[in-house]
Parts: sequence; C-alpha cells; structure tokens
Amino acid sequence: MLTEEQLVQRAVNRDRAAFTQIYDLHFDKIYRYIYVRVHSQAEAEDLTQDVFIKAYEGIRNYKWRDLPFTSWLFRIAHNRVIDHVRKASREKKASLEEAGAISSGDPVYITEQNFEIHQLKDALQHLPDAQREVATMRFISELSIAEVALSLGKSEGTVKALQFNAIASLRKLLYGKINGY
Amino acid sequence: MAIRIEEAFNDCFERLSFGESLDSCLRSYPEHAMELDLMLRMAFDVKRRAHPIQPRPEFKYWSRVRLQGVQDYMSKQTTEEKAGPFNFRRNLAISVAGLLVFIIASSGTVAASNDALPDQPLYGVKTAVEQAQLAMAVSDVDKAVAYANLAGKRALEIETMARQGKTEYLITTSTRMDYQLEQAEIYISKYQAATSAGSPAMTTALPTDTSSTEGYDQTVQPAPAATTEIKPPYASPDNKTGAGQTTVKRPVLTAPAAANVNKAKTALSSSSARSLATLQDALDKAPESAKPAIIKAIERMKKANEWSQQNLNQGQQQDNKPGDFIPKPENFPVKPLPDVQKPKRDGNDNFVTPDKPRYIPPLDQDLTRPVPDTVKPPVTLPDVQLQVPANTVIPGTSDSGPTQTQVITNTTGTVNSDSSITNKTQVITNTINTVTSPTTRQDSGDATTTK
Repeated sequence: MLTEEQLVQRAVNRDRAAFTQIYDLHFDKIYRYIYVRVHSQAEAEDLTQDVFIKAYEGIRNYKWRDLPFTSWLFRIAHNRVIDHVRKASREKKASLEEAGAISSGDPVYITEQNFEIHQLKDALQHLPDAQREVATMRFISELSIAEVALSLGKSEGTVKALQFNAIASLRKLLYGKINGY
Repeated sequence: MAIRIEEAFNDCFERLSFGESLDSCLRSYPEHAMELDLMLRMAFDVKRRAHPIQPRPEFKYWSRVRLQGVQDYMSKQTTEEKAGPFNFRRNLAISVAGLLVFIIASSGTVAASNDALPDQPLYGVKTAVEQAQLAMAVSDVDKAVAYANLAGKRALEIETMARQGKTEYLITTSTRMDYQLEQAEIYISKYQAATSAGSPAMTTALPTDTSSTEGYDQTVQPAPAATTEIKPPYASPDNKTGAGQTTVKRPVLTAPAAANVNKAKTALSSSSARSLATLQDALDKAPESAKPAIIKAIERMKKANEWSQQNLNQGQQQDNKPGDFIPKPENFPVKPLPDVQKPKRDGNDNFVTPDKPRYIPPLDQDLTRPVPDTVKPPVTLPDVQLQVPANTVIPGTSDSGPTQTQVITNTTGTVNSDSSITNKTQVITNTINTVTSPTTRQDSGDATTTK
C-alpha cells in the first residue's frame, strides 16, 4: 500500500495510474467544495474537471516539501472558484438553483435533502469570505486544520478561530438565536 | 490556564469525529460545556447537510475518461518534443534569454549597476547580468574570455572598496575573483585538451589546488604521435633533462584551435596584468586591516598572469606566428609589494602577538605553585572571608598545625593575611582540606563540622 506521498511522487514522474488513484481519492472532496461555492451542478462539474486537468498539467513542478498535496489541490480549486465567481458576477448569470443530491430514492426525502443543501449554500453565501472558505474546507470537504491552514496560507490558530466563528454565524443564519448564542 | 473556546471546540470536533461521545468531551471542558454543546451540534449538522452532495457517477466516469485523453495528448506531445531534430522549446528559451539580455543590457538600471559594489543594492543586477553573459558564452574559449573579464571587474571592485575604506566585502570579492580566474584557466585547459586532435592519450589535469600553478601542468603520458617536446623550466643549463625529471609532452594543436587558445590566453593575460596594476593601487590606499586580503588577491592574480604568459608563449612557439601585443606586469606601473607584517599563529592556530606572548598554564598545573616572575600578573587580591560556623574545630589550630592555619582566630573564620598571593592560596587550600576532609574530622573527635 503506497502512502499518499509515494503516490504523488509517482504522479510527478508522469505515472498515469498513480494520478488516477489521486483523482479517485480527492474527486468527491473537491466537487463538494466547489458545489457549495457555485450556483449550479453543471458549473461545479465543469470546474471540478478543470481543477484535475490543471493539477495534471502542473504536477511536474509540484514539490511535496513546499506544500502537502491536498493543500496544493485545494489551492488550485480555490483559485479556480474565485476566477469563476468573478467572471460569473460580471456576466450576471441567472441562478438555476438545483439539487446536488443523488436523485434516486424517496422523492420526499430527496426534496428535504435538497432543501437543506439549499439552505446551507444560502447561509454560506452570507458568511465573510474567510469564514466561508474555512467552513467549506473543514466541514464540507473534511480537511484537517493543518491542510486548511496551508491551503489558505493562514496559521492554525487563525483557522481554529475562523471555524468557530463560522459555525456560530451559520447557527444564527440557519436557526436564529437560541439561548443568546 | 483556561483553554480558549476555539481550541476546545476544535479538540472536541476531532474527538467526536473519531467516535467519542459528546458528553465525554463536554466533561473535559466544563467551563465551555453549554456553548460547546450548541456549536458542536451545529458543526455536525453542517456535515450532515453536506453529506449528500456527491458527484453524479456518470459525470465522474466521463471526467476520468477526459482526463485520460489529456494525459494521452500530453505524453504524445512530450515524445514528439524529445524525438524532434530540434528542440523547439529550447531554441525558443535561448532566443528569449538573448532578447532579455539585450533588453536588460540596454536599460538604465543595468547601466547604473555597472559600477555597483557588493554592499550596494544594484550589485545583484550586476551579477545577474554577468551570469546572463556567461550563459550566452557557448564555447569554452568564450567562457574563458568571459571569466577573465569578470575577474578583472572583481579587481576593480577591490580597488574601489579599498579606496573608499569598505573592507567588509574585500575577502568575498577576492574569493570570487579567485574562482573566476580558476574558471578561466579551467576552460582554456579544457579547450586545449578537447582540440588536441589525434592524441587520444593526451589528458589535461584540471587544477585542484588553486593556490598553486603547479596543478595546471599537463600530465605525463606515453608520447602521442604528434607532439612537441618542451623542456621543463627546471631543466639543466645544457638543455638536458636532469636525472629523475620527466619530460612534458604537449600535443600540437591545429591552427584554428591554437588561435582560439591564444585568444583566451591573451584575454586572461591582459585582464590579469591590468588587474595587477589596479590591485597595486588598491594596496597603497587600503587600510591596514584590508591589506592581507589585497595581497592575497595580488598573489593569485600574479599566478594567473604567469600561467597565461607561460602557455601563451608556448602557443606562439608552436604555431610560429609573430605574437600580438601581450601585456605583461612590467608593461604596467606595478610597484613591488611592501613588506607587510602578517599576523603569526601558534601551534594551536591562535594569533600570537610577538611582543607580548601569552602565558597559558597547562590544565594539570598546580595553581598553588609560584607563578614564574617573567609572566606573573601584577594582581593584588583582596582579603578572603571564609564563613565557618561556630564550634568548628579545625585541627592544628591549637597544637601542631602549620603557621598559616593559625590565622583563623574567631568563630566566623575570618582570614586576615598580608602575606603574598601564594601564601593566601595555601591558607585557603589547607583550610578547605581540613574542614571538608572526613578523616580529619574523625581524628579531631568532634562531629560538629560544616558541609
């Protein structure tokens, strides 16, 4: 069983099988991170694909000692999303809020899920940029504190404070104030 | 110290993610329990809401297929690049580098940096331009010429710094000059070795010891087919090689190669001769502290000049052409080096001042012994106060003890003595030995002693 570092080193040396393994390992996380940041499922799919193509193009110059691979990949995703959001805001596309959940099973259950996801995305849009980034990476893409810190170029202490504030803000946005919190 | 709630929240979030119960975690932080409870529930609610967000399986599949297509395309491109007769990217990079050097060289910044010294901000620009120039020199001859010119620039910098009294970068610049001279010599030797046609046995020993020109002598090899015998400089006056001496065989170079070698040697010779004059000026103006570095630079430059002269003359003999003007140190107003006293070092590599030798006693020397008069320091020590508790019985104070111990007369154990430093030391030593020695305490028959 290869460690992630060994796998990445093989991918750096243009081992296609190794890069495919990396792709499988990180694809869902990257997709979730992008999905809650953009308006539609189609946008999220396009951007996710772009991130992996860019990663493959740039992996030759990647060095593990500079940045862990997950942080490097999320940095690409972050930059890609920023570019996209900036461009989309200029073009003023109509939002086609659609569900991202797997569309099979009980229709009532799926509708509830989609509604909750929609609420979450909406609440995230109301957070300050830094809190939104940290909350998305930490609770949706499930990165560690260190990975988030390195992806965003912040200290771990700052990330901890931002995640706590983000959760407090999300609580207010989703459930309103309860017991003063 | 109270733990901040952000830290407690993160710790609990991690622990809960690994399966610990909420109650167990909250018990660890009773002061934040209520708030942590709400926040942790919210954090896991966010995770729960986000969990169904998954890419469509068909999208994931087609995305992978597309990625493999990209991989195929890129690997094909790479193969074509490697297989092609001309590496387009490399050529492009060289062209861009050339253009860049041209643009940079024509800009005002570079012009301003030309006179920059190592302690100035523009010096980085200067060295960068020099590196670009070196990169543009393709052949060994061009590189040798470039390095010789750069060594000349270093000599000018040394002279300017010495004139301005800036001594902190003299050694660095001198080392850099040394390296550049060495590189020039290496490239000339390399070119000679490479162009000695039809002499496979001929090799050139690249210098390993830069402090000596002896390292540049070509190695003795079995005589190749076309060689010219050159008498070594230490041959006997009757032009016969002495017993035990080896004959240096030097291969004949082709005419264009000899011309190229002469070109490089001339550049090195001119640069070193000019630099010698410059450094000589620097030596006159430099403060005393800078002189050793400059003298070292002059010596190194002299060696380079001698080496280039020697080989240049050989090259001229070889192709029987009237030589161009070859600058020599005597063409420039080089003054003889002054007799600067260099600091001496002792066997332990410490600096030794000749007038005042340091007396360093060996570690195992008995310090109570009288110090030799020649080096005894004129120090007077103050009276020593020894704190000895009352009722302490010091043997020898009442009956047959030595004279020195009898000065302990009262319960505080004050030692008053006007005797010499040696006697004081003996008093202290004897007293300490007496007080701390268990054998002595037993002999005295009194158990009330101090530590």
